[in-house]
Amino acid sequence: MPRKHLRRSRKQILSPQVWRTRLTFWTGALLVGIAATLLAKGSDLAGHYFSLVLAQYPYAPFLITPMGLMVIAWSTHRFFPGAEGSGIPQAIAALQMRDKALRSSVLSMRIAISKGIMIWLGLLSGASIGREGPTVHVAASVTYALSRFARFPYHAIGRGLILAGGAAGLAAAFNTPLAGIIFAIEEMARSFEERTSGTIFTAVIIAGMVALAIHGNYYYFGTVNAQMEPLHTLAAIVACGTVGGLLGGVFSMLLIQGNRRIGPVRGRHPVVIAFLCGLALAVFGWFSSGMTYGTGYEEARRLLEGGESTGWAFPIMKLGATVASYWSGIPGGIFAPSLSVGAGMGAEIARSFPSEAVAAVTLLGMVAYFTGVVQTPITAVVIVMEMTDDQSLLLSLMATALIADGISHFINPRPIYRALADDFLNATHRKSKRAPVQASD
Amino acid sequence: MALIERNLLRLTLYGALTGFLAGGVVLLFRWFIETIQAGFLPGGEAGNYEALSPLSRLLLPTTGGLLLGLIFQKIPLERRQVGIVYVLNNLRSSAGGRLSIANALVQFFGGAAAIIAGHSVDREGPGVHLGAACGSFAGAYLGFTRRDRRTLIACGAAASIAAAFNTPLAGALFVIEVLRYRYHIARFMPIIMAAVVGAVVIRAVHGPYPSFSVPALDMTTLLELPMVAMLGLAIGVLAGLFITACEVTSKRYAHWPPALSFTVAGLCAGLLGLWSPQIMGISYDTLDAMLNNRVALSVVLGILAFKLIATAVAIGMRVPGGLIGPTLVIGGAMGSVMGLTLDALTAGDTGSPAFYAVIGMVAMMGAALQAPLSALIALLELTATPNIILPGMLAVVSADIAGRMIMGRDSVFMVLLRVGKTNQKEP
Repeated sequence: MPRKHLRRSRKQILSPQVWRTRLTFWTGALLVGIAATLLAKGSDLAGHYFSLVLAQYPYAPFLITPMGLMVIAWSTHRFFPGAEGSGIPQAIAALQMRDKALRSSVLSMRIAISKGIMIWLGLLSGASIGREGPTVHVAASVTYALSRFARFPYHAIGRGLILAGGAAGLAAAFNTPLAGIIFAIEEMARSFEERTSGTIFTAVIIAGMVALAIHGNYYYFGTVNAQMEPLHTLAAIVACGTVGGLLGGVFSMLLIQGNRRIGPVRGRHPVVIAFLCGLALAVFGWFSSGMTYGTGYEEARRLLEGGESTGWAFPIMKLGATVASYWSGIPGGIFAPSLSVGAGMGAEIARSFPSEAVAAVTLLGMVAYFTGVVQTPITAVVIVMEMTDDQSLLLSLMATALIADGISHFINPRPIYRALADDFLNATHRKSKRAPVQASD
Repeated sequence: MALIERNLLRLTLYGALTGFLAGGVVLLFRWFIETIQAGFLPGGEAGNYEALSPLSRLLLPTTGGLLLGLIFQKIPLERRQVGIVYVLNNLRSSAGGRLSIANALVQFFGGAAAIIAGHSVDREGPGVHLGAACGSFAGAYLGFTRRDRRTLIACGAAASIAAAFNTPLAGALFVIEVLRYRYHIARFMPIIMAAVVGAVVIRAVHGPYPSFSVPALDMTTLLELPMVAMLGLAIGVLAGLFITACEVTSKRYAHWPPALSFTVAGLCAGLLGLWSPQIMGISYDTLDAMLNNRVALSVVLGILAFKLIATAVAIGMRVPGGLIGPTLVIGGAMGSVMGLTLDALTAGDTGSPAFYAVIGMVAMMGAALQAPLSALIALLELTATPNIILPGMLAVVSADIAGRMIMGRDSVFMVLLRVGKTNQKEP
C-alpha cells in the first residue's frame, strides 16, 4: 500500500505534464484576479464620474441614460450577441453544453473583453447594474481559454475550470472568498462534486490573494457590529423573510417573464427598447433624487452604517430600475443592486421594530431579498457573514434565508439563473440550427 | 409541483423536529459525561485528568478499557457498529435509511464510558451517530419513504454537529462533505432547518458562545502567508500519517477481541498520559488553552506526538468514540508549535501563536476529514473574523494537496469503512 502511494506521489511531484497543467491553471487564476480587480476599479470610477455629472446637471440623465443605453444595446446586438445580461446564466449554460464549438462561442475572449467595457459604459450612463455577474462570465472565459494551452484530460475538467473561474471571479469581486466557492457549488453546479472542489479552492485562493494584494484588505460594505438574539427577534425574522421572499420572487418573475416577452421585440428593435428603458431609468432616478443609479453600494453602505431611512420608495424604485436595466438588453448583473434593494427594504422594516438594532435588521433584509431573488440561501448567508464580525447574528440570518427561500420557491419554481440559462440555451440552439456555420466560427 | 412543495414543507418541519431531538440528545450525552467526570475527578472539574496521580492515570483507562471490552463481547457484532463510519455506511448502502436503536444505545453508553475512562476520543463522533439515530427514529415512526428517512438521518447528523460546536452552517456543510450527501437544493432546506434548530437548542442552554473561546486574530503582515502555507503542508503530512496509522492498526488487529483491544488502547493512553496527561479524554480544555496562548512549547510538543499516537491506536482498536475532536487538538498543537517557534525566532514580530493554532486546527480537520469547506466555515463561525479566511484557505489547500500526495483522496472515514468491509469478508 505505501509503495503504491509513493509511486503516485512521485508522479504528482515530478511529472512535467502535471506541472504544466498546474501552472496553466494558476496563471488563469492570477489573470482572473487581475481582471476582477480591473473591473472593480473601473466600475467604481464610472459610478463616481456619473455622480459628478449628476450633481452638476440634475436633468442630464434624461439625455445621457437613454442615449448611452441605446449605444450599448445597439453595439451589443450588432457585434457581441450573447454578451447581454448578467453572465451567470451564460456560464451555467456553458456548463451544460456538450458541443465544444458552441461552448467556445459563449465563453470567447471577445465577449469577455467587450462585456467589461460595456459594464463600464453602462455604469457611466447610470444603469442600475452590478459587476459581479459579468465578472463571473469574464473569469469563466479566461480560465476556459487557457484550456487550449495545456492538455486537460477530461470533459469534466473543462467543467471544473468554468466553475473555478466563476467562483474566483465572484470571490475577487466581493472580497468574500468563501462565498465565491459556495456560490459556485450552490448555484452554478447545483451539486457538490468532490473532484472539482479542490480545483475551485486553488483558483479562488490565487484570485483572492491577487485582489487582496491590489486592493488591500477591505470589507465590501465595511464592518457592521450588530447584535441580536434569535429567540427574541422572531418577529423581525419572519417579517424580513416574508417580505424579502415575496419581493425577491416578484423581481425574479418580472425578470424572467418580462425577458421572455420582450426578447423577440428586442431582437427586431433593440434601440427602441433601450431608449424606453433608459427613459424609465431616468424617471426612477428623478423621483428617488438620484439614488437608483449605479450599483447601489453607496446606498447600501450608508444604510448599514445607520444612515437615515429612505422610505419604501427607494427599494421599490431600485427594484424597478434594475428590472428596466435588465430588459434593455445591455450587459450587467443583478447581484449588487439586489443587495442594495434588500438593504433599503431591511431598513424600512427596522422602523417597525424599534427595539432592534437597525443595522441588524438591515442585514436580515439583505439576506432575505437576495435569497428571494437568487434562491441560494447558503451563499446569501455567507456573503453577509463575511461582512460582519458578530456571530450572534448567524442563526437569525439562516432562519431568514430559509423563510425567504421557501416563499420564493412558491413564486418561481425554477430559480432565476436556471430559468435564464434555459432561455439562453434555447435561443443559442435555435440560432445554431438555423445557421450552423456561424456557431462554429 | 404543488405536491413536491408540500412534501418539502412537511420534511422541513420534521427536519426541525429532528434538529430539536438531536440537539437534546447531544446535550444529554454531554451532561451525562460531564456529571460523572465531575463526580470523581479532582476538584470536581470535568476533563481534569491532569490532577490525577500517575498510577490512577495509568489504571483508569486500562481497567476502563478492559471492563468496556468485556461488556462489548456480550453484544452481538452487528450491534457493536457505531460512530460516523456506521452512519456513512448506512447512508451509502442501498438498503439503508434505518439505524437501529440498539446501536444508538451501545454508542451512548459505550462512548460515554470510553471518554470517562480517559481514552483519547471525542464526543462528536458519537453525537453524529446519536443525532442521525434521532432522525431515523422519527422517520420510521412517521412511516416515511426511504429517501425521506435518509434526509432525516442527514438532518440529525447536521444538527448534532451544529449543536456540538455551536456552528450551524458548518453542520449543514458537514453532511455534504463527510457523509457525502448529494447536494440538491430542494432536499437541503430540511437540513439547514435542522442545523438551525440544533444550534438554537444549544444556545438556549449554554448561551450564544462558540465552543472554543477564540480571540480576534489576524496576520501581522502578508509576509506571513508563506509560513501559513508551510504549516498547511506540514499538517497535510501529519494528516496522512494519522490516517495511515489508523488504517494499519485497524487492519492488523482486527481479529483481536474487544476485551484485549480496548485494554491495549487504554494502556497506550495511560502510558502516554504519564508524560502528558492533557491527551486524556476529549482534551478541549487543552485546546482552549492553546488557542489563548497559555501552553508552553515543551508541553505542546508532547501533546502533538502523543495525542496522535493515542488516538490512532484508539480508533484502530475500534474504541466507540469519535476522532473529530482529536484531529482538532492535533492540528491545534501543530499550529501552536509553529507559532511558538516563530514567536521565539522573530521576537514577537509575527502573529500570535494562537493565530497559528486556530489555522492549524482547521487545516487538520479539512485534510483528515476531506472536508475543507466545513472546516473553513467552522473557522468563520468560531472566530467571527472574516479576515482570517484567506490565510485559512491557504492552509487548508496546502494541507489538502500534501495530504493527497501522500495518501490519495479518501477521508479517514472512507478508509476505515473500506478496512471494515474487507475485514468482514475475510473471516
